[in-house]
Amino acid sequence: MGVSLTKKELNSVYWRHYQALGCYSYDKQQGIPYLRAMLPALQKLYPEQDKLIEAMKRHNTMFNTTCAFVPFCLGISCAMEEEYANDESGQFNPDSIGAVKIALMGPLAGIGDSFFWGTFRLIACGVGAPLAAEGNVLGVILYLLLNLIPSTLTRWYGFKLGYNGGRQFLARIQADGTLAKLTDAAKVLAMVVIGGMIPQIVRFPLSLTWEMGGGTFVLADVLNGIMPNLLPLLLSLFVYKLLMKGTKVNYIIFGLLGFGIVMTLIGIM
Amino acid sequence: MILQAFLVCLVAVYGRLEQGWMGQQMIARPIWLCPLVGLLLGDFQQGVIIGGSLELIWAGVVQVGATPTEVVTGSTVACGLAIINGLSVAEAITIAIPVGLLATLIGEVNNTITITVWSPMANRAAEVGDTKKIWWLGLAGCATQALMYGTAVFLAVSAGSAAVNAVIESIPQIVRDGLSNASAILPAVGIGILMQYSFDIKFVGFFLLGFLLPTYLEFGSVAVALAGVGAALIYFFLKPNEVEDD
Repeated sequence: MGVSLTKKELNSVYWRHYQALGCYSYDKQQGIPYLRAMLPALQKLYPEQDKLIEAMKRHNTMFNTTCAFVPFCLGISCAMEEEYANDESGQFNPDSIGAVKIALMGPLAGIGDSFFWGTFRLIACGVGAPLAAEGNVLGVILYLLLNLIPSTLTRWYGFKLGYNGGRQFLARIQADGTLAKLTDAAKVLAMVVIGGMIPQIVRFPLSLTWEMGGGTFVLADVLNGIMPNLLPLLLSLFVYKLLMKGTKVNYIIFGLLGFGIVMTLIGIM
Repeated sequence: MILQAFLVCLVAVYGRLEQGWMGQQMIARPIWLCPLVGLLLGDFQQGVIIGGSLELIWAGVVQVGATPTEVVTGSTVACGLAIINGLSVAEAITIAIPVGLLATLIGEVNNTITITVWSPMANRAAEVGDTKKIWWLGLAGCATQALMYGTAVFLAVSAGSAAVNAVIESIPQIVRDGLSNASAILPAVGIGILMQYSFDIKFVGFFLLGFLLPTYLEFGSVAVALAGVGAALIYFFLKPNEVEDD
């Protein structure tokens, strides 16, 4: 065994992953920061300048995934570079290092975005934002903890797992269907949370009333009698339909602003 | 006023750096940045309230790639102006929305700088094995971005705090009421965007379940999330694995 990576290099690679979005460009996305993170490992593995340049060019390519999964990919890249640097048989094709990165980033971004943007952040928002909106600082603290804890654990253990046979692990859970099931389970959780957010954050203030016979007709009470929160539900589904049809978010926002003003002017809201 | 604008600008710069240099932990959001603005401007409580309210409206706006709204700028400017000028939460929201939209232009400028300046420089540095240059290039894109956004926020808050009261007072009361009502229905946009990420017709029952729990059983947000965990566990353990065919 020739050169091997020690805790020192691996730790610097890990800590440098935090700057994964430090130079986001359209052509390479997280590519430059990825190369920057790999440098401590590459410099240790390739003391000769020409080998180092070859390795640097290898990583100066397009790469993009959810930030919390970058350490997992870096761990795998470190393990593969180490294998290549010590390969004396000439069997190891360095192109596979880039190929694995490319193969990983798509599925990982898919899972990562649905877990971190779509699930953890969403739960944190669903739990924290209504509290904060009432002026309760606990809402802010809960929001931070619910995001930081899962993300930090994923980063740290992801890096270790990536370096210690992560490729095989991912291939295994992908092949036996666990990965697909896990993604779906996250969706189930997100669906419950999104459904539950509607009554809590969307309000539809109606002020329309009129005298009729002996009684007063209150539109809001009639609708509540059918089902509470019916209008917020229908409105959310309507916005979702518009988005699926490709309507721009900003048009919807301005549309709703206009709608609110018009409804207030004519006395319905 | 200059000092206050500078303090708000610091929070906006921090928000940028959180995404670029501190691993995008999903916390460069109104719910965390507005309390910081409030703390620096001496009204922490109002910062928490504005932050929570904006978070609800922008819950669905995610900061990946091309974004419909720039939440860091929108929330810091709106919260700063609201606290300096003693505006209501609804008025803060009214400011936040157009500011967030305008600020996306800065992102476009920065993306152009990155692809025309930093990226080619990185290619040359890799050709010659210049590791030191790669070290700072890997940080450069976010630095220029933070600088540009910071300057914009500083200018917006220092110029805006003189003008914003006059502008808001010139809006007729009925329109202001309308905007306030509109801000009650706007969170539906956030819900719609989130549904785009996760909605799957085969899971519509879970969506309905989540909707019914607070509607009829007074579940709070923590309780709904826990019920969601229960549903996800049931799904995960009862569904047989579908093994991929090779």
